[in-house]
Amino acid sequence: MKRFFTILAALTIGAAGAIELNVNGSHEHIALNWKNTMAYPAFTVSFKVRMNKKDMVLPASVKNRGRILFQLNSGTPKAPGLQNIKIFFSVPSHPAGGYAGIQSSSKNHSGKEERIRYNVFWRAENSQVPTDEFVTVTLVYADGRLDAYLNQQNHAALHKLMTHTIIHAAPEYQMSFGGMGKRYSVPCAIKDIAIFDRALTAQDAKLLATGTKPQKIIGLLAYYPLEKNGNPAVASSQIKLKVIK
Amino acid sequence: MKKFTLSLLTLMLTYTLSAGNVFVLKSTKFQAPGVPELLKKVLAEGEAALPADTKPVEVYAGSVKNEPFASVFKKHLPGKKLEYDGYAVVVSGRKVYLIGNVERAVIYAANDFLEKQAGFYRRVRPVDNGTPGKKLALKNDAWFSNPAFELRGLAGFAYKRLHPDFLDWETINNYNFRPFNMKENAFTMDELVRRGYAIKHSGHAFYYWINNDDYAKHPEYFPLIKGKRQKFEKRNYSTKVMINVGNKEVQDLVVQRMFDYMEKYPETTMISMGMNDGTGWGDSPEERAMDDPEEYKRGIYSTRYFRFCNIIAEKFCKRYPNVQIFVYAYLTAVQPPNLKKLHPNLFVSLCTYRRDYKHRINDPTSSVNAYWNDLILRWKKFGNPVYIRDYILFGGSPAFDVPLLKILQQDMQYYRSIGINAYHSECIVDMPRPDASQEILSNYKGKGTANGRCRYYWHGMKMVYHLLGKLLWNPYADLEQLKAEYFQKYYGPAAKYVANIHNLISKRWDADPAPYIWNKYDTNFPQMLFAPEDMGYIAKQLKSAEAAAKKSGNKLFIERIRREKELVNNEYRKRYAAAQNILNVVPMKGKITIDAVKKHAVAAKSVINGFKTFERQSKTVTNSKFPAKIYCAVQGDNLIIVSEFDQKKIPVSFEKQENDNQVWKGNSTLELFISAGPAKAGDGYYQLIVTPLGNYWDAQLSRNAWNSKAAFSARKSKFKWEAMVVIPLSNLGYPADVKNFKLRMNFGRSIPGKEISSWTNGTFANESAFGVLNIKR
Repeated sequence: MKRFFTILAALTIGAAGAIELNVNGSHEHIALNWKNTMAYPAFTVSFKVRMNKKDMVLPASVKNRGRILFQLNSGTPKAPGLQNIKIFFSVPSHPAGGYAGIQSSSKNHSGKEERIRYNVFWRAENSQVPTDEFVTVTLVYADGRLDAYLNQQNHAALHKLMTHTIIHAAPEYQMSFGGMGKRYSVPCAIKDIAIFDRALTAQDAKLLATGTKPQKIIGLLAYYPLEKNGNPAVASSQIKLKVIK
Repeated sequence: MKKFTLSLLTLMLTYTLSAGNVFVLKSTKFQAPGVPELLKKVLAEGEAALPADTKPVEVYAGSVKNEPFASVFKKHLPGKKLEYDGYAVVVSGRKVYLIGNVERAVIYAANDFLEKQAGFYRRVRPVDNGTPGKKLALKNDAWFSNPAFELRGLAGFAYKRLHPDFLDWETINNYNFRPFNMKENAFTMDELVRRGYAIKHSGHAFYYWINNDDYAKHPEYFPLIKGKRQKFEKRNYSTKVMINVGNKEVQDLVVQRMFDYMEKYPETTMISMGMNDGTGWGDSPEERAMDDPEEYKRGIYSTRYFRFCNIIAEKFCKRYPNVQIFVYAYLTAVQPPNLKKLHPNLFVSLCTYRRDYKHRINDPTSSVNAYWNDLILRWKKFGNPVYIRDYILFGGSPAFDVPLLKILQQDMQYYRSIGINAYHSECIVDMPRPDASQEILSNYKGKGTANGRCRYYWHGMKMVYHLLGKLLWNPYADLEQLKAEYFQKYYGPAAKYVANIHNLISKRWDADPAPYIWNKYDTNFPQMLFAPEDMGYIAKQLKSAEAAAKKSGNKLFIERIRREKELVNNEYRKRYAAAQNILNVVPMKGKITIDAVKKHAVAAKSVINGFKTFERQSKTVTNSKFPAKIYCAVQGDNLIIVSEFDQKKIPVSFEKQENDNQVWKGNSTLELFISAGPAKAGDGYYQLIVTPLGNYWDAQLSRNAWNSKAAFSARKSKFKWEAMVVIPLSNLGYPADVKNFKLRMNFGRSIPGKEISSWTNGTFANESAFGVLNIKR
């Protein structure tokens, strides 16, 4: 049975024309559901996010240290294949010691877990990734390989080559941006969510990071600017987005 | 340890050393005997092609601190001053004065003079001699030159000791910084002292000052790791385990051993306190007391390490105030420590490990380099000398003309602007010279290194290391002019064609937005770089270069072009070919059946035989163990593809599925990934899947609303099956009126639960791995 979501009326739109999440005690996140017909998972998720330095540090007393900026989950978690992709922040109580993990997990034919992981110094101090300004995140998944561009830098290229065993795609994927409820929420501003049913190249990632609109890149399925409201600029019958409060 | 006594020889002779018929080396005093030896060789190379009737020229070489050079310098260059290892050249009639601020600088002076007035070009790579000029245009003149960087060095890996030819080459190319490990001193010092190098140690040294022999009686000298005192797993630079830097006895013992060392080798100007090459720091209370607690939580040991270095320096430098102590800002100690100051004698080697060479080091758009630049600036704040240890060795893997010089020049200019005046990069030694002795040959590390890795690496990187020497001397030199001169002088009449190849590579490099970082797993750069037509262009340039060199009759040029050809054929083609798969497809006549297509394709040689898999664990592309063949043909607007798959003893899986639904479930499949043609370029690529029952799924990218208008059929037996797909090319964006064109695509195959394989490299849906069909209709 198909499920449809509706976009809620009340959205927090920031001054920069993006959706501000998890401010003033709220714990919003953006949920996206993708019913796909891919044979094998080959896709790109791109979005722009602003992480403010002051929000990237948690008091040491806060027990739960991990926070999730982005997560993609398979709609069939028991079946072999790609299980999830996530970007999370670890050890945020240390401004110069925390880091972001970009990770994907998959199950091979025997049910064994395979993991890809890139650690990035994305944090309040001595950060490799800019803070207090928008960063373009472009996650490219194809052939069991995850490329992760933050602006133009592909962090897969800075790490040992890792891949998953290629398995058929799940019929559905769910994504969340800005956390998942109170426990894992990340204060941030999000805009320009774009889904492509193609593995973008480094050149495409550069174009996105340097201001090219997603409509100019081949393979665009859906695009949500999130500047004035939550309406898509390019819609797809396969994809639905909503803001969860 | 072998006791080694140095005595510096002073030659007080007045003698004439004839370097040949033209350049006659006259009286001089040299404390380093290797300097006149090399000078003689350089002068001999410089005159090798001069006409036989060239009148002799008297050459005087020596230090500006001695006469007559002090007076000559003062007379011809009044008010000027030599700094660091600067040099001057004075030409007066048929007398040439080569004057150095230090002895070895006369070698730089000689090369400069020969290049300016004898048409010469210095050694570009260690295996070569310089390129002699044909005419001596002697002219009265006087000039001087001082380097921008005080210390300019390369490390020569892949060789057990110091390679004497490499040392000669680096002197000729104005490098002067030759730090070496504490352990290498016996042979090394002699070779360096006789060549006039300053004696400076570097490298990992903890294992040298405290060693495994100490462990039996004093395990507490070693780090406490997971509750146990760990000794070194091996006693050399690569051991990962550190020492207990918090132990007072260790501190005192290290200093005492440093004193002993200085007694033996008083000419040492820098001694090493580099930590070992790993992360084996301990957790005993003594060691933890040296830490900054916040750093410790993040796995950083800068404060611990540099607090230790400060303590050592404080004690050691009371006796040896003029000896510097080499320390590493590297890995666990790359961050500046949380200390108010560092002892002024600490000489910090900042290892810019895995920076991005597509961008200058201070380019804010590169987040990788922004990280390193931030570190450089924070290190500079201590006021200690900071030197950059660079890694343009790239793991020794790419034998490739990597177009680095533009970026390196920008880096050098930036380093100078912020007061960094020492630079050193990793490098490997060149292949042996033709007359190399057995001793030299036996010291190459690893079988095949000499004529494999070293050879091709220098085939590719020679211009970088050669011109880097000039840029370290003068970062503001005109790089295009340096390159033009290099091509002209090194390749003669073939210069233009070799330059064309270099320019093509530079163009591709500049157009490729991906960063380039030393990553030993990244050896695919050439295959990512070249466009399909590039190999043909390079072959054409090589052919012209060969013809031009042959016509000149000059053996040097002929040999150098032969090496370029070797580089292209063995390295560029090999790596390029790994990702380039090409199949010619020609028209067939008659009825289209599976058997007819197979027969036609065999006759026309349009058959792909065997697929590849990507092995995840070893990260290698290997041949699939399941036989696969693809037969191709065209007829009118149709592209015809027949697959023949053998699953050996694994039964063919088949389940009836609805077309354009998830046909792959429970089925062995043929998978086609086809780039959209020019009329539909915005579609990206198309994907078609066929099962043993002839069910199909077709999609533009993943959008199965698209209709390929193809005809699908299949037949099977227990372990084998075949499929045929007839696709109208015009529906893929290839207009019917275009007769000959290239179509990029890949063929794939799935045996459920067993194997995924494809024509080119085992991947699916990977546009950069598509092969090429040359279609001629």
